[in-house]
Amino acid sequence: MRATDLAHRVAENAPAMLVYLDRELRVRFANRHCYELLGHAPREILGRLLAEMVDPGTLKYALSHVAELERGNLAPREYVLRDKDGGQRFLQVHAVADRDDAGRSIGYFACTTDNSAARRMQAALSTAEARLDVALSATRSGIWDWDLEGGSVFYSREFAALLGYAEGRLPQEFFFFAELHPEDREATLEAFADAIQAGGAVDREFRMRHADGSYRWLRGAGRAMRDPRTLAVTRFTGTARDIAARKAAQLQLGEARSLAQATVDSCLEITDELDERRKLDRVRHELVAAANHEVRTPLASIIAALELLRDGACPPEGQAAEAFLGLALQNAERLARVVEEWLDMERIDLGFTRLQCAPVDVAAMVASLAKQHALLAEARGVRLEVGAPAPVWVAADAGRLKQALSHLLVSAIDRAPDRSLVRCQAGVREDRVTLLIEDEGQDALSGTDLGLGVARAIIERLGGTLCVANRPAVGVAFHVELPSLAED
Amino acid sequence: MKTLILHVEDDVSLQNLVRAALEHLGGYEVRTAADGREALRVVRERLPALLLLDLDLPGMSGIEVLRALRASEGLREAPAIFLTAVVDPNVLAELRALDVQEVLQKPFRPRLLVEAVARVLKGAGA
Repeated sequence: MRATDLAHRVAENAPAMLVYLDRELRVRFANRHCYELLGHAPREILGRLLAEMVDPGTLKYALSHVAELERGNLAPREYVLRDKDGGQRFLQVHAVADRDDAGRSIGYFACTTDNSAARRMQAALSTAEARLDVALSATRSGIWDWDLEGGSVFYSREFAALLGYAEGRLPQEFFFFAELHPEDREATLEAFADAIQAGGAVDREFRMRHADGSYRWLRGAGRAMRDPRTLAVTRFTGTARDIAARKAAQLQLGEARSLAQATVDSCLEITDELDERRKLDRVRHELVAAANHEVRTPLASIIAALELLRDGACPPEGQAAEAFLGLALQNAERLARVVEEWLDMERIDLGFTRLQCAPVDVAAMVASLAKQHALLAEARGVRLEVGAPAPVWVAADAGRLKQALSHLLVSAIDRAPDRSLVRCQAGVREDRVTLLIEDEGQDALSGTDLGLGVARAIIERLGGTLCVANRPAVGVAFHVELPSLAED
Repeated sequence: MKTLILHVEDDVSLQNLVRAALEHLGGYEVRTAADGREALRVVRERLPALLLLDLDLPGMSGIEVLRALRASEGLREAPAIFLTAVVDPNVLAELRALDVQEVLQKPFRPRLLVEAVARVLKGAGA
């Protein structure tokens, strides 16, 4: 074979696109691969100017490439061209000037390789990496990847961030198990070891030391991976996620539950006691109704809030969950107060509470209570009028009597409409000390006032009576009578 | 437009929780009134498909509120559910006479409340 034939054969079949352009950038030669890629017949390309075949941007880029070649810069350049199917091709072009004996360029040799596959893979990889980054930071997750054979460990930037280390850099001496909370260390280590041993998965919650020295709740989900040939477990890879918010909510939920449980238990105790009392036929009907209402209403809120939380009627984290927990707690506390009041009344009624009786001036007590609640009355726009001409003495436990009268007064102020009057009048009738507290509230007194039951129990224990005149559209009047202290 | 339920209840916690249950579990819209006067004002804006009432309310009782609401234009046949702490046999008889579809006792399970609402609405052909 002649040398020229051989040269032609090499040029046609070399595993790259070979092109020769003359000084005007007219195509003088293009090998088979060029035609195959671009989908043009040789006659369509040969003799044509580059300017006629590519878009202005590419032409400008090619001209700057030529200028660099003239300066002696032979660095390859990457071109993006459309192939015959309209697909994007990334072509790497090595070019060199063809010079005459005088050193002037008379044309350019170009050797072009198709980099599209590699570029596409790279692009896909960086998109996947970017997506993973977004996903990891959105879920506040970090990745670990332990190479069990080589012994190297990789932790992602997010993993370091979870533990409060800046710029994704864990300290040199970081060792996963050493940073676990002492209480979680053994069990976590065991679970991880089991997963690695069995080539299985693990999903655990544990606390790890944060850069600031505190411990943070994380959830780690990992999987041991086998070498496809040897089937030996060679990697252990997983994600770690910050679950502090959920843990805090869980803790609160637990507290709310135990408080609710404790109050529910107390309620049951009361129910038992009620049964006892019913047997003794000493139960007062309206008080049972009151207890029923005052226990069931907060209990309804507690149960509804906890059940809605459990059933996920709101997201487990965030404001709605906190609001539900808040309602449960608030009502558990309210229930606890009701229970306390009820037990208090029971203790008084059954004589378990010792009353420390001493002479008490009811007129002075009422005047002092009016002073004490003046601010409340003012806030409600209610005028308090106290009529107590002279001291009226009874034998009573001052603290308890004050508790009872205070409840009656506050109840009257609460019910009184704006700009109305609450009147208190103390006096003596025969051997009884009387006290009248009346308001101008338009609404009938609710039959579900447990505090009223406590007040009545106290007054009755002191040998007195409490009558309630419920006069719709006129107001409510409390009539208290206590045995007068004989003046010896 | 979502089915509207009027809830008359003076306890603020229960107002919020019943609203959450009916909106999140049932997909209903809920308007809340603390007493009869407010209930009568609320129904003037848009007629509810169902009335959910507490029995023990300040001022007008739940039964009086129901009577007043049913006397308003467009609510003569409105189905009603009572959610109450007190289940006295006499009161129950009175509620039955008033054509109240269901009476649920407090404490209640949110899911059962939503089911009861759905049942009553279905029965009412809504």
